[in-house]
Amino acid sequence: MRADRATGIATAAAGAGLALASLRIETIAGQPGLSARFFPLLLSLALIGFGTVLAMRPGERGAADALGRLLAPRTVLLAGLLLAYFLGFPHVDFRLWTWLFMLLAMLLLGSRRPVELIAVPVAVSLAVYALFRYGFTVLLPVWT
Amino acid sequence: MDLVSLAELGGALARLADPLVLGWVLVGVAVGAVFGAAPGLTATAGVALATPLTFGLGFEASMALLLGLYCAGYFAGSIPAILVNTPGAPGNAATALDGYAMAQSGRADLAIGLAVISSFIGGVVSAAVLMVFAPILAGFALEFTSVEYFTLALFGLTCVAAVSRGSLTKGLIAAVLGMLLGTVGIDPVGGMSRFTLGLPQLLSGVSLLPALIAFFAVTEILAQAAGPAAAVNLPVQRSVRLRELLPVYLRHKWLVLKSAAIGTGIGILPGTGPTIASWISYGEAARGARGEPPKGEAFGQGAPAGVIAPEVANNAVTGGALVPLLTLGIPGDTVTAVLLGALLIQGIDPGPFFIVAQGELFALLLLILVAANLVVLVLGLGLRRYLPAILRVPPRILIPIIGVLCATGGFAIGNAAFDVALIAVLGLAGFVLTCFGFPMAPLVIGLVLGPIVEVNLRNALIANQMDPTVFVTRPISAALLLALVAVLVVAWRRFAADRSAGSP
Repeated sequence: MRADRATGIATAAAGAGLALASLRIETIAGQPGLSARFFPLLLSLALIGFGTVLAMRPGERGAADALGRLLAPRTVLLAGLLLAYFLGFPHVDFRLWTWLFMLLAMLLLGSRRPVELIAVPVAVSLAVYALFRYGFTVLLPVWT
Repeated sequence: MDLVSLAELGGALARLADPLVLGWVLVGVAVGAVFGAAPGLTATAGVALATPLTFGLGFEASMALLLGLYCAGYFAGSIPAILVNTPGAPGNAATALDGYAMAQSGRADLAIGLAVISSFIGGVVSAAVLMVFAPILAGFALEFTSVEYFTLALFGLTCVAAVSRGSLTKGLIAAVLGMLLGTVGIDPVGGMSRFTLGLPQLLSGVSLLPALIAFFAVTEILAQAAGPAAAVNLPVQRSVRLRELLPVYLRHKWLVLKSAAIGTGIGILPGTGPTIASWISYGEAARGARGEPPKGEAFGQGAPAGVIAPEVANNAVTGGALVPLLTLGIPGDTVTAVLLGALLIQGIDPGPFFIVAQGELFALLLLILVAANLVVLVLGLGLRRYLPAILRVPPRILIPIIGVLCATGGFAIGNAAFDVALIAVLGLAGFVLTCFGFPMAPLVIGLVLGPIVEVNLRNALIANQMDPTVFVTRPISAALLLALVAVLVVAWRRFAADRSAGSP
């Protein structure tokens, strides 16, 4: 299947879902002018229209090509690592969490030199902490 | 309307002379150079990451940091474009055509020198244009009603979708998705809650800064991780003296002026940016080339004009793009969309009354822009032989550092865990969209302009007794709608031609 056909169908389906959700937006009876649901509904219908056009006039690229890039093991692992780092960010000591993220991300991206793996994560976590905490007076999460 | 008065200019000069402000310009230029030169990262990502830091800074220091970053970011993408044929930003793609050919023939020093000086000329000319025309446009803008604001915002949105690379339909879908994101939260007219998923944090809508960090920086680092690393393998280079560059500019003086005019003009149009400006200038330079070129200097084979035209144009966008931002409150490109947020952080509300009421701040912005371009010139020329070192920061180190800065910058916006989670979710969604060929620029501009479109559409209809013909009966609105249709027709033809030629 071509990538554009799949995304076109998905876009039109998302548009239909959003159109239904738009119809559930509350309105005020007797409100002058357009209601709160008008603009989201209009955009949802545009999404259905453009999605249909994309599905009917797809480019040559295959869905497998796009999915291959999206689901490449290194990308999936890095995305998972980023997600974990971002979601855990407010809950774990910044210096420890950033050091761990840097170490794992560098290993994932191919770093193998011991000196680099020891020095860079420590330097980055401390430098960024110092910059934000003392340079910009941002209270980063720390365990005290 | 009068231009900026001498007293206001003097006051602005005095504020710029503060060594701390000049220091922040320097920091901005240095950081912008890194963001611009690192392929995949852009000036927009740099400005988006730096904006949360401005919470703790004053107006002068914040603008010095961000405008320095803006100017250097637009210029520095030419360095990897010239050295390794990998544009640091989309706006430098045209520079790669002849710049890389020059580097391959041992003239990288000349090409970078031309890029530095051309960027300086473009930036300064556009600042001069901003000084002269922005007050006039501000007076004109005072005549704008919600009808014109609606059509202008819609026009800007359509421009971005139409000039995006790839499919016009995908550009339009991305713009619609951005506008839909902009509808999340409390309805600005009636006060009803929309698409908040029961999360109180979403009642105030999707914040612009986390969204920008997500769609530009997080999406880009995932894309970088998914792509192959660029090779750095330069041939032996020949150094040039500065005075050898003068004859080149004298030979191409009209091209410089034409490219500056193109860049500034395109920058003034809301929703465009350096990419389209640099390609149009390059096309004009190639179209206007006359006579037999010297050996190795044909277009595409190392023509100096092929570096001068796009670099003058893409930096001329900087001043041009500030015109709609400062006079109408509408961002001219993605970076000025972020700058809008930075101005709001500082309590500045750009719009028709900004220049009238705060002439000194306006003059200060212009002077910072010129100072930033001057710093880019001095640093660029001084460091041009050492610049390739930036590219030697390996992606295995650079990518995680950017990830850390995204999270820390996102957290710093409001010390909110929700913003950091939002960046992660939107960034992953943006990467999925990128993998399927959806451009990010229309999505972000949709998020910025969507609420403007909606509020002004609703206000215009209420003010005109729900009469939709008002959009075609008012002359400026009608002209903008005509221009919008023309943009769509031209873009559709271009995309159709690309399709039949078999390009992606």
